Amino acid sequence: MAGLAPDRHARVLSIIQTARAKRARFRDPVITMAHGAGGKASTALIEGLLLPALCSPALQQLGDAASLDVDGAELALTTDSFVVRPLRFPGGSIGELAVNGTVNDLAVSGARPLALTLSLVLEEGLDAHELRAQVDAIAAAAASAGVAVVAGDTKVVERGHGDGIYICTTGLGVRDRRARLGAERLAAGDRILVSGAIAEHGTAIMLARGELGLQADVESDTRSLWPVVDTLLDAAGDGLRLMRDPTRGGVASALNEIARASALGMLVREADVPVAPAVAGAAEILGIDPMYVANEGKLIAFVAPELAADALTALRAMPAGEHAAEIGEVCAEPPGMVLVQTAFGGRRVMDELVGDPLPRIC
Amino acid sequence: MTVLEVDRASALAVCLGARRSSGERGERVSVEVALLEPVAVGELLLVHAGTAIARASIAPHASPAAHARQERA
Amino acid sequence: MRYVDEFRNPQLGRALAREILAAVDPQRHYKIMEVCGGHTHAIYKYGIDALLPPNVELVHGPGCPVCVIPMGRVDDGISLACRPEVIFTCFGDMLRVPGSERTLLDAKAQGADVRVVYSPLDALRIARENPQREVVFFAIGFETTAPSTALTLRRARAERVPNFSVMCSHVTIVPPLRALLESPDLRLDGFIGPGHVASVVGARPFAFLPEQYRKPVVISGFEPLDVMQAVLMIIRQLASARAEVENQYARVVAWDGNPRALEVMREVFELRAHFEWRGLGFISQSALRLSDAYARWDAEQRFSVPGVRVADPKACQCGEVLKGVIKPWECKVFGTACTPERPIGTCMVSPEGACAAYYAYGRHAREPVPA
Repeated sequence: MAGLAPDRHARVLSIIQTARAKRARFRDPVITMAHGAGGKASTALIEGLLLPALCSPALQQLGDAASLDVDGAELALTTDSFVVRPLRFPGGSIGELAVNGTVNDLAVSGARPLALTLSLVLEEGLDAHELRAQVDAIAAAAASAGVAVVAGDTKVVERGHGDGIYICTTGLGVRDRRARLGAERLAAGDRILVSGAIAEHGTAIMLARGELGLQADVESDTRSLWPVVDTLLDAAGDGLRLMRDPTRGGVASALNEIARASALGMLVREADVPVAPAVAGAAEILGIDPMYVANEGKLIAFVAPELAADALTALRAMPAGEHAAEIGEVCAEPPGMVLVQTAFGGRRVMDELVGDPLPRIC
Repeated sequence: MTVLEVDRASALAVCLGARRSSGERGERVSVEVALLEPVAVGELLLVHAGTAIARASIAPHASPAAHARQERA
Repeated sequence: MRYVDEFRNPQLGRALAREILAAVDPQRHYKIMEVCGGHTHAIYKYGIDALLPPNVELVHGPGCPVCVIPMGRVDDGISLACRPEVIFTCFGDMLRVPGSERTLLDAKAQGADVRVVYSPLDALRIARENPQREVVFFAIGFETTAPSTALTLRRARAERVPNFSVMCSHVTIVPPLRALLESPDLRLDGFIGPGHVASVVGARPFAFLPEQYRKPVVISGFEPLDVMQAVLMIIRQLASARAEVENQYARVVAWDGNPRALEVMREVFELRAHFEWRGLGFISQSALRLSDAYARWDAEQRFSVPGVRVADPKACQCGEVLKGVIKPWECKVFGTACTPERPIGTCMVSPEGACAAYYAYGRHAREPVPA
């Protein structure tokens, strides 16, 4: 792009590059919904406020779960909170989400989930039947995931201060010996796999809220990912570099985070990303990109090129795994950025989310 | 979008979203059709902000190639 | 298993890319403007500009009706949203547009009842469901969304819904185009015409571009093949020294548009004498307000709003970026005083505006795809 003033062009680009490379600063006067969306604002909050204040080596890793060495045992510890509305939606409920979400943070860190603690913040006026149904859902999900709920707490807040139920969890797991995961293990040429069709959970929630007058047959994909991780560890062993469960912010945000952490680039082939027709259609009507929509039963895996085919075969053999796919690869350039080869053949950057993926009309 | 059902009294139609071949289940949305009445089930409409603003001879989301194929047919 | 859309055939795309390459004059640099947010989005989403030869440049025009809303007007919206009795409804696109101090999203965080709707009809429904509250709909968009607002107001009037009102910020497409074209330093060769606006107003209103300014205009659909075909048609017009209105989107757009929609709009709306466009200044007869018959549903008459005019900073050069005179990085405040986090003009407010896109993607914005 030979412009009129190449010096000025270069200078401006370097100003921008410096600004982008700077550690995020948290300067907002109040918290907004954007801070919870998993994109730039969330990153600023975490890296600008929380990390500097609470620094510890384990925290610095910013993994889905923390690694702790306790007298030779490698434990994994994670925490999560669930504030979804509505409490029940096609495919699941907040209770299942709480169990599976916590289990999955452990699983994608290469740790076998063992136990959960459960804190319930209940709103005054919550229907007892609803609570019972959620607790039953939690018990069922825990049994299905093979974890025990070992401790808990309950608080009640006044009407108007709680959205029904908030659930906070801590998950404990033990690191699987087969797992050697870390962003530092990524290398150019590694393949990016996804374990199934994306964007189901987030879309189901948006539709279930009923605010947008749209109905479609989309269900949340909430489930434990440990069986998938177990299979992948078997199929790819050492060749499995990293996994992530792309919850809020979707696949795009997860890939961006990893690209930044590893200072490598990524190329995603849009035509290969599995999206169910109902999800694609609803997203199109709402003007939302499925790549930024939350998943609760899918993972992204980075696998060495020579083992990718085996890993994919193993993923596809799993129940509900028939849409697993290889969606791209890691590249040396451009560092820290995710590029997309569009289904149409063009190429563009897939940037981090700025705020909530809002429906667009114009 | 494709019209699924029409409620003449309220000038609203329930439409099947975006690009769908016939027989596939898809997303359903309620659309104001007063600007194009009368509309019939199966018609293809261009919808913006909840209102149908134009009829389409083939899907608005169809390629020029598909249009050319239809014109020749 | 990916839902492969047969209507976005990449082979046809490549074939069109080859035809465009064959049709261009290698000694010439082409600047083609698209004026519709939908086209900006499609071009960005499908990476279309990477498929064009390097001497064909797509310039994003003033087609983001959200981004051109001046800060003072956003402030007015925010002041309404902050009233305890008001439920403020708007499209998602509106939430992050900056006012002079904050956005509607910020106001929501601070307690304002702001709700995203997909259609003004949803807003009317909210009014019926909440009779003790005042529901205000912030109406934005070109002539594509104006019919929906008009029909909603007709319903509100017919059903005598007392607690619903519209803050009308609809704008029209032709006046800003004229304003751009009147400029002596214009560098644009042709226009990709807005397909959805044209489905309402028809192709006819765009005839002034070739007739008065000798610029080709091709009304285009929004699929990537549509846009590429439109580019090809413009290049061919230029090659044979023609300047005409061509309708690439004939499957939807008629020469006279949708007469019923136009009639409803004439009943419900009137043209404002002037309207200030962010980054472009005052343009006559470029925006709509509610007609006298609908005064009772006009939020600006029902409520008093600050109505303060907040001028764009003098340093803003959006007008020149939009005309294709300068590139984003040539704007004096690009990347320094004007960033996506603290945008000054429309080119940076819209996530797909030229400046925002360039800021985010830098040198990767226009890397050509290997054939």
